[in-house]
Amino acid sequence: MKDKIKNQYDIIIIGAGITGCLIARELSFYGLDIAVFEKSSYVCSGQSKANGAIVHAGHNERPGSLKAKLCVEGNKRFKDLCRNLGVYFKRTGYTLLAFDSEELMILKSLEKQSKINGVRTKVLDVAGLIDKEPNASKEALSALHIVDAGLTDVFRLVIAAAEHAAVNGVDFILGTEVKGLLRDLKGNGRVSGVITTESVWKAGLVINCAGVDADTIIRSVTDTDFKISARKAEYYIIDKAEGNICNGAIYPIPTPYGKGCAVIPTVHGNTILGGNSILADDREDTSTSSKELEDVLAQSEKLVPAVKGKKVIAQFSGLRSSVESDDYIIGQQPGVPGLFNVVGIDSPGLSSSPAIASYVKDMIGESYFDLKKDPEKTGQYRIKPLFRNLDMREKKEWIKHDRRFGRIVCRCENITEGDIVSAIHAPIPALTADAIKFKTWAGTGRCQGAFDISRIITILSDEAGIKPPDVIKRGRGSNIVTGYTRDFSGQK
Amino acid sequence: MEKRSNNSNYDIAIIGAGPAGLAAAVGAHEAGAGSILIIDREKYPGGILQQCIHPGFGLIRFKEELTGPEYAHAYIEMAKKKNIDLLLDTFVYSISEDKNILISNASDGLKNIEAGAVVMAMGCREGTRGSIFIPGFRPAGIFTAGTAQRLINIDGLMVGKKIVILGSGDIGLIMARRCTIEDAKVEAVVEKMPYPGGLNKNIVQCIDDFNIPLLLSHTVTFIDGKERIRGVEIAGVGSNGEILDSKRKYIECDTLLLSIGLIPENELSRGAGIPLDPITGGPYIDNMMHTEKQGFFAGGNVVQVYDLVDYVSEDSYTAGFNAGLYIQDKLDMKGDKIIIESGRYIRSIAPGILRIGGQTPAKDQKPVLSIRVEKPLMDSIRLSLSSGNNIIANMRRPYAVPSEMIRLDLSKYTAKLAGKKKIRIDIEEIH
Repeated sequence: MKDKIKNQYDIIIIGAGITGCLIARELSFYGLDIAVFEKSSYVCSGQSKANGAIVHAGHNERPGSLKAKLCVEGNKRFKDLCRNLGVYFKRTGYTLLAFDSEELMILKSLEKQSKINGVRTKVLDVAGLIDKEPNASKEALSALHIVDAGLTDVFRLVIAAAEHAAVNGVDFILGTEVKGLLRDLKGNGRVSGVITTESVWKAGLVINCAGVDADTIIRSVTDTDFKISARKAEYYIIDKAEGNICNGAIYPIPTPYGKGCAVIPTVHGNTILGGNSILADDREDTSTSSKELEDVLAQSEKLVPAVKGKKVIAQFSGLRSSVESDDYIIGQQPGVPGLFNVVGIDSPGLSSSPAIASYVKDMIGESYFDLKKDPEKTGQYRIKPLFRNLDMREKKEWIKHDRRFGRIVCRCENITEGDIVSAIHAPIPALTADAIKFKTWAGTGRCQGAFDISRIITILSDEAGIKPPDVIKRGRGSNIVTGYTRDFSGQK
Repeated sequence: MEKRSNNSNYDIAIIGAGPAGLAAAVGAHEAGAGSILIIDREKYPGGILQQCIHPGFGLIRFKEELTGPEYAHAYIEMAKKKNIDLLLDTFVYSISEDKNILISNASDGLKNIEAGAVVMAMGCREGTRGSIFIPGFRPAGIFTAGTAQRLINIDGLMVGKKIVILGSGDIGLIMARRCTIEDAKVEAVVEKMPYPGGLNKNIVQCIDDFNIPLLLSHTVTFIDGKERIRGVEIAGVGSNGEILDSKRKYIECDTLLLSIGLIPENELSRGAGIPLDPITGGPYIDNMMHTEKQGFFAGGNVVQVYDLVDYVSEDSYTAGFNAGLYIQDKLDMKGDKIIIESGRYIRSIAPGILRIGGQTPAKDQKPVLSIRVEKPLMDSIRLSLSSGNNIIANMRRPYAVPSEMIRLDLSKYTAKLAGKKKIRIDIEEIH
């Protein structure tokens, strides 16, 4: 049993993104006391939230690299993982287009590389391409179809993994930033816990899944031979009313900086465009710029001319943590026992994450803990589905059981009050406007929350006892309103 | 007006209980329709008027100045006297081409309702940050003006203390005044165009009277602040829409309100297969407020964005009245179908189709056009109505601005229009 008073855990994981949450889930079956620390107020709030939700197959990864191994393996595990957690996954495949002779040569080498990595591909001529993707550019000379790539719902995957871990007893300590590591200076200098702004928490092992902040964490105890640079990717979201633009994602030929700016269908019926890859000086700079977005639009139009003039509902950007070695760094920090790094997880990080989780578990089982399955920890957990995804019979049953599923709160995305109330009372409670958005998809549609925000404030206030002026969008200081009006201030 | 009903079959279903829906219900009842149902997603009827607590409504319709809730109340009272069912707190998922309406609410759950005719009266929604793309961060503190109006006037929650408003549409201007009254400081109203987007009386009463800076030919170019908004960068806009770097300036603020345009809300119309006009964003409609889909009528901001609610009521009454005739097989749609084309200086015209002649009484045909111009025309103007090279009529107006609709009554000319396939309206400046 963990001793909360002594702030003692077997394992502390820093970061509740896709890797942190899947590792927490993977380790939650073994009777260990585990906590996940996350500086944001909800899971999936950093690098994991701003990407194309593509599950790559491993065509672009250098043979022999950890990236290639874990991406290929992760892709294979995706279907079962998503099915077990009740999360969308579909093997749509995706297609890379080559526009000139130089790109044709790269395409050929990618085909070869895929073969070495064990990734299934299909070379398409123009007719084959248009047959598969009628809206793809007819200027393309040839295309490479990556058969086993797919699409998922990255938010719900991270949330489901975290909820599963939480159900198995993992503590999620959200809104708490790890400022440094506790080090046992008398012994071998091993890391023995974490230091947050408020407190000190002890642990037998600290797993560093802190994304762009991972090197800052390490540097609090030792020098590192690598530096994480943050690369920013910017995206457009197209209104789902514009319909299906492509069947699977459509990519350009990759560059040394990434897979390039693509046209990507989503689980939710929207198409997204992006992202490019720009070096960011500031690791918290998730702002968008008109210059970069013009560039995204131009690159997307080259691949799929039909995106021109489509109604855009939002823009966003995300940061990727990349390391110079261009491979994942997974393992104990040299010379610092007790600190285990899972670092440099940039693309294809999402695709690799199921394999990363079991790879990490195996290493931890070998070197740190004797992992024995705890019969009380369930291997089964499914995230509660959204009402809108049920069939008519189930819908009627749900409403009979809880009338609030009959009341729509988000009219663009058809999200019910029942969905929002369920998110507030989930194993990891969604207590901010953004958390509710990530969990339920409310406020992501064409009105971008203009209609639902007043209702969400009311529901959070009724269900979670948060006073309306204290409702926040995401972090401390992100209050949605600033107080009551004159007429109301006396009453409340 | 009844609060509840277990019926699932109606002569007429009206989608939306705002000013358009209420007037349509009154119209349908007066035309003799048997059973009428209004459906609305709010917990109360009256639509957006209920959050418009300022005066300025009803001067044309009631010859007195009312607040939004007062105006709504007048129509709610009218509808109450008639046998009209009202389903509130109810969402319409979809309407099929054969007028099967799938609704949902907390008491009935999912339910199908059959209607003989449908009046679309869903109103409009606001343009968002994403729809015009403003670069920068995505912090808390960015609201559309209408959302801010709801938070303040309905929920009693104050949106901010130092406010910048982008866009000078009427709601933006009204909110500039409203926030000032609530002790917020409105740092500026920023308008991209060289002229204001809202009505002149709102410029005077909401901006000038409160000494709020109105920056024309300016826009917001960056939103700063990671958690709550910390400030915006604004910049001048040149005559070709280009950003003028020389006029960049940072304004500290904790709130940005957007009043950047209204969009008729037609997702349900699209689902029902009603053809939409890309210019107005609403259904193609004729002078009986009938859409191009048999048995579907439309009224109010779902057709085009109106300047005054009084005209919303007037045209929606027509929509409801004709739906009432339609259901009794009394609506004559055999008249000549004339397409109206937008000519010089005209942005949009609705209705875009005239059906005249036939047996329908002239007062119910209502050949009144609402015209929006592209830019301010401050000298006298002449509107000309032509068919091919023949001028059918000329009409003069002292001026025209984009924020005000020109209401053009063609009743006098119906005889001259008979038999035409297409007519065109142009505007000329008279110097």
